[in-house]
Amino acid sequence: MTLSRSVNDDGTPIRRFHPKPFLILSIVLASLFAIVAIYPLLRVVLGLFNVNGAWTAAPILHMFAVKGLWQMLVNTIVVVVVSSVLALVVGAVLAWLNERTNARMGTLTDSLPLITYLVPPLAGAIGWALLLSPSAGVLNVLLRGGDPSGSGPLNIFSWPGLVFVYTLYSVPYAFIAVSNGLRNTDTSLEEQSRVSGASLGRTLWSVTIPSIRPALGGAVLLMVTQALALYSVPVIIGTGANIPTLAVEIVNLLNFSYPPHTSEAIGLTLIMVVLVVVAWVAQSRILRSGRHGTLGGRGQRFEVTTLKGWLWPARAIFLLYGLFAVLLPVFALVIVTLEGFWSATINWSTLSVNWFLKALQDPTTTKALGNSMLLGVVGATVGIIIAAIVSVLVARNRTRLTGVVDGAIKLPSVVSHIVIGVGMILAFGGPPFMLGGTVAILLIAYLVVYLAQGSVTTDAAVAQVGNELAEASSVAGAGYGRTFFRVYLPLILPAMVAGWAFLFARMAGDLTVTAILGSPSNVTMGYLIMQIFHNGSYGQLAPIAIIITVVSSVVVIAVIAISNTWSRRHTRKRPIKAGREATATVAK
Amino acid sequence: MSGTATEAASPAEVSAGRAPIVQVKGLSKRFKRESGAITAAVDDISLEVAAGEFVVLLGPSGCGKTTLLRMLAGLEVPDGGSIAIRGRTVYDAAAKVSVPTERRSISMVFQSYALWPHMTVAQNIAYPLNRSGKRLGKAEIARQVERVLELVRIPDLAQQYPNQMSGGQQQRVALARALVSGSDLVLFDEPLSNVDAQVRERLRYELLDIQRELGFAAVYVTHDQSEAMGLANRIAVMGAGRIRQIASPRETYENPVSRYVANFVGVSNEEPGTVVSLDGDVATLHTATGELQGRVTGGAVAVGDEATLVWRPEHATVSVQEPTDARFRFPARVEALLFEGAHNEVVLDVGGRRARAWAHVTAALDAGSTVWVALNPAYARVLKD
Ligand SMILES: Nc1ncnc2c1ncn2[C@@H]1O[C@H](COP(=O)(O)OP(=O)(O)OP(=O)(O)O)[C@@H](O)[C@H]1O
Ligand SMILES: [Mg+2]
Repeated sequence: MTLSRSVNDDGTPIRRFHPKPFLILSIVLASLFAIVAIYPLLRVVLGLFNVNGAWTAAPILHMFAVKGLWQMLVNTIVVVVVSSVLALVVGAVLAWLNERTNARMGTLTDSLPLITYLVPPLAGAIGWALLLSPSAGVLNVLLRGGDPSGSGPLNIFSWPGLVFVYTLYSVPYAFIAVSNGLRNTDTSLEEQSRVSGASLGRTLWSVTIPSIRPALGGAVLLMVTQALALYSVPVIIGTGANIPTLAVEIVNLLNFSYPPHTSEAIGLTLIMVVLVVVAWVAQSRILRSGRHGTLGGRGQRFEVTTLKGWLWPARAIFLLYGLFAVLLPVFALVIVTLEGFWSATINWSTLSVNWFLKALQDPTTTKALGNSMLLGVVGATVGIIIAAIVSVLVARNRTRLTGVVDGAIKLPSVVSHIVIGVGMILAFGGPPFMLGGTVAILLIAYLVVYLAQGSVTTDAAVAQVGNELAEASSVAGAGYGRTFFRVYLPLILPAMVAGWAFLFARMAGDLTVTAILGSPSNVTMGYLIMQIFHNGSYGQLAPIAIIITVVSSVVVIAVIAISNTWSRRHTRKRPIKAGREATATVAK
Repeated sequence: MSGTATEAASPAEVSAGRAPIVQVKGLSKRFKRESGAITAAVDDISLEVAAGEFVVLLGPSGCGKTTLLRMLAGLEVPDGGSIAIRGRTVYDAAAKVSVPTERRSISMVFQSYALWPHMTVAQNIAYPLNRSGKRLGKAEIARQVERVLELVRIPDLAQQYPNQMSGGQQQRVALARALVSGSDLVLFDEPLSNVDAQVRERLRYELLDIQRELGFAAVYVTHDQSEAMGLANRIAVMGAGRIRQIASPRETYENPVSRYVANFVGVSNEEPGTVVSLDGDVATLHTATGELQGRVTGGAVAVGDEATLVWRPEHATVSVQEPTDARFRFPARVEALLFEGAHNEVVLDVGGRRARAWAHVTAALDAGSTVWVALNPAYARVLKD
């Protein structure tokens, strides 16, 4: 055996190299990916001062010369800040109702965040345009008592309309973050407060909210970066309302002007970087100040507040949210699709699926759908596998290298996606890679942008597995690879499936990255929507939005259902860890 | 012994016989606390474990037992020193050798069992049999699993999943998994601390039976001294990252080398004083309660040194009348009387210090009364530190 050779005859030890093929593969893969994730960001920064190899301040000067710059900047800040604050309030209230009161309605309220998977913001934005455009909006006509002429009373193409739609699609981020925060907070603090006579309101204000401050901070950061990069809502609603914003302007400079104004676009991304940094600093301030909730073991039981008379008003908030975020916009999209064109009056007798089928048969649509599915499936699969490999690597191999790699992979998730898109063009669009306009550059960009969101799930799953199960495997003689495949993989598989569904929906329905990197040669659903929006009609837009909504819903729901059935059949295989170990893992 | 261990060892060493299984020299491990302070969790420890020997690492919480054990297993990388297992260096700071855990051919039982929840008991146990480079047939694996399940007395649980079993049964599975590969070195980190007292007692005896039968060497961490006494060939009493004494349970109890060891292993009473005369290893001390005598078992003392006389509760005779025939005696006040079944435990106030002694159940003692304590110098110990 090899071991007997680790000592020379005279008893002196000799160095031995123990090859671990899978460990080396993991490190190489993770490092490569980290480079791919960081390089475009470096190119953006470099691109601010260096054009075609010469040092210059041109991009920054050009940026200041952009027409209406300050108006755009103010618009962007106002819409992002106001919608984030509103979404934080709504999301936190919903999360609290769901976690701590009897307003919870099982899967129905738990699956609220799924809405972002199922209805992409762009479909929602189109739906709301169809519902509330001043003259022909379906809802407006109804509010006018069916009068097809005239206008109002509501107008989605306005400041309130814009903020409203932004808010709708930011709520899930706050809901998820605050739910996690509440789940990880020791309720004994709250119970203590109630026992000592404080009212529910005072307990909320002085105990619950301070203890979830980190979660709130995280939610704000996430919402701000997402909202800054959001392209679909401002292009559809904002353009109609004549409210120019940074994201739309950057895409216009790159994709809808000839020749592309790359240097101005890079200049504008600098502003985005600055805004994200401001949000970052604000968040770390929140994290640093004061006490926050302690992490307890899992499986805690929480005291549930009974809402008596407030029960149905509370549940109505959930239902209203579902109505606004999903039912109404999807209804409008379906109606317009079946009618084939957008008109103020619904002629129920002429509704037909023909228009829908016609849209499906269009070769461009087929090609776009094919590309989007391909990108979704390949991207989600590759992404979740890399995420799992990196999560395990970082947990098992805490060296400086793995720390840096992990940070590099996560960095893009807190940088506006528009910035990364621009970086991708600079990094891979030209020589030597020449990936501009290919499906490959979209795939790489999607991976860079969304991978960190997938690794949130795998990181949590790996942390739940803990150290000892892996150590027991090493003691039993298993190397890194065998430990990965026999111990980690089976235990984190359910989390990987959930992460896969999330990545799939994100990638298949992406509009933000596509808006920058898309072209007729790598047409996707997102690109198609953008083209129709600029050159076509709402009647053509609706079926495309429906297709993307239906396809991602079907795939996501199917995958999650299959995985749930599978894990129900294997419930006995759930980890048997006691709370004590969970805390021990956290303590380590 | 069969299995990996024998295969891994070279014939010369097997025939040499007495080569230690574990040889630790000058091993150290420092941790950096969050505050930035450095603690020496293991501080320059040397230790040898012979083949078939049962060594218990005993010490209070935080004294570095787990850290030492994990370094033996290769789960923690030391800062200095060397470790050899079966005569082969698996870690040497100076020579920069560090053999990873999976190549050390050892077994380990974890405090939390660490059973893989997605595998059946049989799959859990079979896992170490597929050590890389070793391919056993299905039938052979099944046979070995069955054999070891019988050994730990849960033959019909093979198809269960770990969370369908009681804590005691899970612990048996963890033990079976550690034994199945036939390794000649098994490490235990407080394996019995999560099961209730009765099961713990049973498992302890069974573990001892199995160890004597299979003959593996064991390094066993605990902070329960009765467990240590019952299992060990030798106990290593640890304190603040160092081994304070390593000896048989009897030796540790009867001849502790320091007050720390005397206090940690069993109950002890102390009388500080000054050495007034020395006759071989018998020292006479001048103490607050008078002249007392005992044997020196720790560091050497000289006349005039400060030292402490240490005595065990069962080595005193407590009586109401002054025992004039006993040379070393002193009065004490009874603070409390605890009935323990076979004897009474008397809590005493000896000139302001608290002491414990055993008294016959028939002795008529009352709380608050004054009694006489007589010490037999053959059992009392004089310790310098
Ligand atoms: N990963 C770590 N980081 C920092 N300090 C550590 C770490 N692991 C152990 N220590 C410190 O090293 C010292 C020894 O710890 P160790 O776990 O070996 O104690 P122990 O004797 O096993 O205690 P117990 O009986 O409570 O299990 C303790 O002071 C502990 O705080
Ligand atoms: Mg320990």
